[in-house]
Amino acid sequence: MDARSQSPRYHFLAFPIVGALLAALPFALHNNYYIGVMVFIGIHTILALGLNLLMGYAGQVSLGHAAFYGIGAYTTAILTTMLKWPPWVGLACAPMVAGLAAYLIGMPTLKLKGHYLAMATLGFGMIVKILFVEYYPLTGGTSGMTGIPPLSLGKLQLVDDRQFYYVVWFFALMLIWVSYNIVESRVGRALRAVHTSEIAAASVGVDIAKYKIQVFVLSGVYSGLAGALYAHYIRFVNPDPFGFMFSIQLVVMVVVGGMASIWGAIAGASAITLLSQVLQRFEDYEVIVFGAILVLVMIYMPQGLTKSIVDLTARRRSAKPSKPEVLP
Amino acid sequence: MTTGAVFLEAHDVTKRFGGLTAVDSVSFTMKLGTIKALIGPNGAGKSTMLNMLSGVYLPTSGRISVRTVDVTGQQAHKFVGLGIARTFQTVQLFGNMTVIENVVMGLHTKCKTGIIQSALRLPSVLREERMVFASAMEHLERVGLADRASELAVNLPYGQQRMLEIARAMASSPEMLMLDEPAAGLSMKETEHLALFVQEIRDSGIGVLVVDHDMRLIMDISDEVVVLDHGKKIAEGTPREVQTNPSVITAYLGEEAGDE
Amino acid sequence: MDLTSQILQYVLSGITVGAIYAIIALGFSLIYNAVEIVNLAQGEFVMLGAMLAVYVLQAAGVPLFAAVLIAIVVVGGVGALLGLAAIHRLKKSSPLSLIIITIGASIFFKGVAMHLWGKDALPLPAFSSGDAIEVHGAVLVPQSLWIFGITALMLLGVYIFYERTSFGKAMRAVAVNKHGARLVGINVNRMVVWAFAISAALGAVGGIIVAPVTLASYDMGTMLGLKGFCAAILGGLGSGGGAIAGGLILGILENLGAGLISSAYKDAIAFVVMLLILFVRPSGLFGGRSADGR
Ligand SMILES: Nc1ncnc2c1ncn2[C@@H]1O[C@H](COP(=O)(O)OP(=O)(O)O)[C@@H](O)[C@H]1O
Ligand SMILES: [Mg+2]
Repeated sequence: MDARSQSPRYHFLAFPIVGALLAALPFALHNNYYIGVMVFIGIHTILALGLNLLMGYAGQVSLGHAAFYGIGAYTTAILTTMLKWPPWVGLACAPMVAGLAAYLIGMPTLKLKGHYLAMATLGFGMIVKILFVEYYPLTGGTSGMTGIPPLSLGKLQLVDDRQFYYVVWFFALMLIWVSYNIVESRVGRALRAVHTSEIAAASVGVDIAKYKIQVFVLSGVYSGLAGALYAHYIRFVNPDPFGFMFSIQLVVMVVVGGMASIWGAIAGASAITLLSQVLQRFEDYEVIVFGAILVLVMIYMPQGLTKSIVDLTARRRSAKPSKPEVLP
Repeated sequence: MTTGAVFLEAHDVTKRFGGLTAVDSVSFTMKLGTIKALIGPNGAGKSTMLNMLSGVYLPTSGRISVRTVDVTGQQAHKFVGLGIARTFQTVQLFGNMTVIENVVMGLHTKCKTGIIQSALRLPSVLREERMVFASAMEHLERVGLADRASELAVNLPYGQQRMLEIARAMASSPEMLMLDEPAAGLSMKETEHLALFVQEIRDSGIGVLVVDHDMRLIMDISDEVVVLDHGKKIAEGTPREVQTNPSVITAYLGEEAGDE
Repeated sequence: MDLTSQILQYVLSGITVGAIYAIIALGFSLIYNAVEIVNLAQGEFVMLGAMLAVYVLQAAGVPLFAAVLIAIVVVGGVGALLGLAAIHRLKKSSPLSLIIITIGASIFFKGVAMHLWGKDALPLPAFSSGDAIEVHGAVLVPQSLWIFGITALMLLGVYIFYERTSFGKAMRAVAVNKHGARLVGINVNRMVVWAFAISAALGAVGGIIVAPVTLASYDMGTMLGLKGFCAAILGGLGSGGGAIAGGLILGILENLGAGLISSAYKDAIAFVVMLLILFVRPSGLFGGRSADGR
């Protein structure tokens, strides 16, 4: 797998372009419904970014990432409604709590060879969901928690979809930048090295387990932040969005966007979020389509849609000049 | 570094895979500034020995010590810190990285940038990157690969891949270098080049443990030879002593003549 | 009921459901041994078995045992297809993508089942009529006896297959050393497909025998599958005896915990047990393989 598909120059060019497009988008979208969808795409992008680092660079999968998302959402919900802490403080604490949870799960399992993390996160996800449902003194049970305060900037309360759009995408772009920096650094190099040859990576002193744990905690932190953003956007949490099915949807986003591709995370999050909006109209088909996408993409385009499309066009382009010049 | 000082000791090291005893109670010492050869027919347990001396395999029994400190059971990634670097029988490069990045990986333990500094791209990160790439370039120059620095490692011809692997190992400034069949697949000329380089490394005070089937190379460059057969050490001594040892001739050289 | 008969009741119900977990866990282990991947579609085979048996019974009007047989064979075939998809990628991809393929398949099967048979839970008749049996104040429905008996038969069958037949021995060789098996002329791909087929058929049996007690529904497989998975981890992934012990222990713990501590957290018990074992002894209670692979 070529994890180095993006060269730095290409990236730094892409950054302002994507930023400008995103900043301009709300002016083109008159319907608030679409702004809402864009907010969700932003939140899902943050989630997919973290999971993408884990799957694409640490070679591990989390089958319970929705739990960290949920922990982020409930952390800020509890802190801001029960303890009346300011929303920004809740937003700052949520990623820490989620990161800590990831550390506790990752620490014992990532030291082992094999896919123990997948199993542990699967179990963890189920337990967390059950806790959300059953531990109602803290979580409000199935009816959830209402009255989560909105984020505010000075006197301005961010209750409008358009305002929140900028908040979410500000964080999403920041984290894209951060993820990109990590991937293009000593740490990213070490992770790529592990990918090609674990034994050689160890022989030059790469502490594989340490990096896997760091990446997993980081992805937990991202998810916690996404969860907190979700909570302050919807201003209500209940256990529904944080189940096994959503964990799988996140995996689908990463797979479709392409593992080990930072920009692919946006692509995957957009594609799957939009697709599930469309599919909601034919609700029963949603799962079938998701399942089929997962299997087919994994079998026929294991690099993900974006990478495969780029490869295909590149092949076409490079095919032309290589043809002999002596055409009739 | 003091040439001749004992660096590493293996005491009665044994490795079993299920019912098969790949290495059977082998002991020897490695000195600084010395080339030691480990020879024996295919399947004798040479690679397994190297894998134990670099933490890839856990010995079933026995002890390994470095500068008299017991390091048995340490994880593989800790061995670089102990001053041990190695190459592999089947070349293990980071194929999707450039040639220079491979050497930069060899400098991994000499850098400090962690995940948080990299995430924020602090100035210290960029400074360290510049330093590391410059240092890697020097290592590439030593093996004559400087002009191919920005190519992908997979695109190098085989002989150069082997040299790159050695350059990567040397980048960690080891005190002991282990080479598993470095001459396999090399041309005569490349082998000569390799011999000179290995002797140069030895002369700088580094201990070299080399496994190879090229007897001329081994007899030319080694100071000491250890012979393994079916996992057991059957002889140890200078190249000359080993060559005239009757059990070596029957167990090893005879077989060698028979199947190659 | 006094405390002892209450506990006896929990243990008996625990063994009943534990037997199902054991069959499912065995399916996980068979596939894990063949390809070293966790087949997360295992639970859906359980569901497909139960749903198909109900459907064939109603639609074709055949006797119960014929419906059951048809269901098992069809599910085995579906398993073989999944196995084919897996080996298609086996050489090229990481275990990660194989696991993802099985997740996709599991979602797909569930969605298709919901479409074909709806969201309602459907009944499958018990294998024999008769009254509940009383044992020291605890009650046992006759279907439980069927579950014990059939599970024991299945486990024995798998054991004989692996230990006594040359085909089974070849499969074990694949499990121990794929490369070596190839060298001695064993067709590894065929073995992988068979491992999927057998696991799927086993899962189907599990679903069919439990359906008269729990009813059959399109979403019954997920939880059963995941708990069977917990059982496999508890016993040691890849160990046949471990799968059985893990299933029974888990079933009993779950029922005791729900009865004596809190029924609200009943579904969490299996996962807590799994996390604990992963943290403390990742190779499982009876698994031999060391987890760090040195
Ligand atoms: N990981 C392993 N698992 C099982 N057997 C192994 C393993 N590594 C090596 N062996 C066996 O150990 C013996 C010694 O192998 P090796 O050390 O590679 O020999 P050499 O390098 O001297 O040719 C061989 O019989 C080989 O098949
Ligand atoms: Mg060897």
